[in-house]
Amino acid sequence: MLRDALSKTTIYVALGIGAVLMLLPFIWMLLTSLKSGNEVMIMPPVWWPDDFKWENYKTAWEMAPFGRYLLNSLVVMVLSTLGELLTTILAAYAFSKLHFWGRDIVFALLLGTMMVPGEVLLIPNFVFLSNLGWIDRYEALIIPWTASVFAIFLLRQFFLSVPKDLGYAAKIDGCSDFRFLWTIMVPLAKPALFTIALLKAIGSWNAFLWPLIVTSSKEMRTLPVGLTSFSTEAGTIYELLMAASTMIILPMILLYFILQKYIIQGISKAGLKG
Amino acid sequence: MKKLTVLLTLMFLLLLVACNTTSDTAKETSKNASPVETTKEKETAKTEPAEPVEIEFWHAMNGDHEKALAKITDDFNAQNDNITVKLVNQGGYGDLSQKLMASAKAKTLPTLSQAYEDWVTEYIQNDLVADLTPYVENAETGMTDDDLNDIVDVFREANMWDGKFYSMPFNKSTRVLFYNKGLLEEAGVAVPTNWDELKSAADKLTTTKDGKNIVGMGFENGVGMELIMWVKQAGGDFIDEKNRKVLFNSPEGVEALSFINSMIQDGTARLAGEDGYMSGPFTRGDVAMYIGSNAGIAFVANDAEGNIEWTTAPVPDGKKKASAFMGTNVTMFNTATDEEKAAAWEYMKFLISKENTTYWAMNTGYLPVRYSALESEDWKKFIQENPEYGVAQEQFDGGFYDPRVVGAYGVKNAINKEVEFVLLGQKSVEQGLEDAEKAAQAELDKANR
Repeated sequence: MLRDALSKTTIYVALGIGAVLMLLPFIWMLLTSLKSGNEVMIMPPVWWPDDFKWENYKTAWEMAPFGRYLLNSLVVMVLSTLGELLTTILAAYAFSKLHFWGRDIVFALLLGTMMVPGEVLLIPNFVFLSNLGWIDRYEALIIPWTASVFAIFLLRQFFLSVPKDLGYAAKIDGCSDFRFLWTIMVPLAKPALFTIALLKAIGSWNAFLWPLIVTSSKEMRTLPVGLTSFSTEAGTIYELLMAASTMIILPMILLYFILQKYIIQGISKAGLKG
Repeated sequence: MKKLTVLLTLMFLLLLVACNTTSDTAKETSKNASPVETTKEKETAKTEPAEPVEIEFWHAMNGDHEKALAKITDDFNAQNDNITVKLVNQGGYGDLSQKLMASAKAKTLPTLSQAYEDWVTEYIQNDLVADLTPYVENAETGMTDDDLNDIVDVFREANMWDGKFYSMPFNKSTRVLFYNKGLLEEAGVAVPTNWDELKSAADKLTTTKDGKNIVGMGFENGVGMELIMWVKQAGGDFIDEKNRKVLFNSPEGVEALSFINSMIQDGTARLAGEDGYMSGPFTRGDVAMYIGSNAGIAFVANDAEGNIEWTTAPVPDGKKKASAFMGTNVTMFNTATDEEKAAAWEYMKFLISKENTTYWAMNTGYLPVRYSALESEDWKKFIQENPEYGVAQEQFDGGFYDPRVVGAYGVKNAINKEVEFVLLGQKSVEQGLEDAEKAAQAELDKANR
């Protein structure tokens, strides 16, 4: 009994310390967002602002059309995540369960593209999209991001671990490939799919360079681009930047709380398999 | 799990590498940019548009700077029925440069953009920018000689290539000496006006007060990027713009770098380091003086409130007076139609009119670009009330601009890297300069192959 209690205490203390450490940056962000300019950089650092400057939030919100940015970020995140899930499921199934000539070569080539840094592709991609007439439109923000080799790779590995017998049994019962994929494989792969969706959603929410490059009008820009309003060549207005960051991170935190169960499941299961 | 972690780590590493090489690759790509088809420049430039024209102006101004720019642009749009200037914020300068290169490739350049001089050199080589000389010389809508000579010499010259204008000066800044009045008074130190005084002042101001270490002098992290100022002050040459030859590995170069290095080594000077910008440690009272951009005055003022008493002074002189004037200009791309160009020219003139350049300077901390603006009552009153803004203009005498060579950014980075080795004590001054010369020359040759 005593040993049990002791080990439990140790675990909770360790977890507690970990939790506080993880929270610290967020708390720092929150407190900084309420400081005045001269408190931000003071040394030794001040945790608690002298008086809470709530107006920082108002000022920050008014520095750029954040309402519109928020809408754009949401649209882009939702559509590109759905799009990626669709292409990933289909591609991963093809690369794991279907047999066709050159399958492994094509897959190896796909993996090879992961070695090319995205920045190298920036200009060719821009020129391509510009020829399509997509610049400064939602198409440019969403469609290039509806496929990801990494996600395909992750899901393929997951699909490979599903016993072949399942597929044979389905075939014998007269199930088509397509139906087998959607009614059996996809539900089985839920944890992996959550991981993929989450990585995508976070990536899309935080994306900066691409949205900046392919858009020109304020109406088409996303939240991270709005954050540049607080930086100039001579310095950064940290208190406002932190206020805006706090507002921007809120939807992500909400999303996390709502999906917490699946996310933890996804990470632990997909992690093990991957 | 392990595999995933390894994979993720690898991906992050790749990303990091990618980020580091971005500017290089981007520069590379743009160098091979095929010249965009050009509309032939007419002998006499077209004047005011008869039909409504909308032009885009790409910029990298944020915060208060953006607000000031928007106000001037709104005024312009209100006064010109047929012209609408649309401001497009493109993030920071790096982002702007990347987007311009991508757009040049895709043939979707705007009519106007902010650009550094070395970018313009590159655009000229690739035949992307419009020669403004016909617009300047146009009898009706051009500028008179008096008008042209009213633009501060160093700014005007920075925008001329082989006697032709390809851009107009816009947001200009220079380095000034920031100092903590209280600390200097306490130590009985006068504001340094030359190298020797700077060194001894730094020495006297380096103390421990109430258990807090105070360093006399501060340099921004990119001090290697600004080596040019120190070499010129020592009487040396930096880079031969015409022949693209690196010249700073000279006795004067050694003298300049030794001067900075000696202060860093004996602890009487420090770099911004982890603080990012010197405005942080300076306004905390950890550093008594520093040399930094006058565009940072507003930040220092904001952070210093309630902490320290401070002001600015001209940068101390070496054997020669020399201070670098930097910042961007407004350039016009030749992909625009004649009507768009004519409209853009009207806007360019408006942007640097006496009233507007004064308004711009008072609201941003950049410098007015016209002598008449510097002489105006508004400005005189402004610098009387805010003396820290009045210092930069005292430095026009020894004013110079950065060499406008293609690949200038890579060259500066290469030099900065070697200077850092020296300041960290890993290389001798002579060795560091020799390596910096080699690396800089290699960058220069690579960018201009």
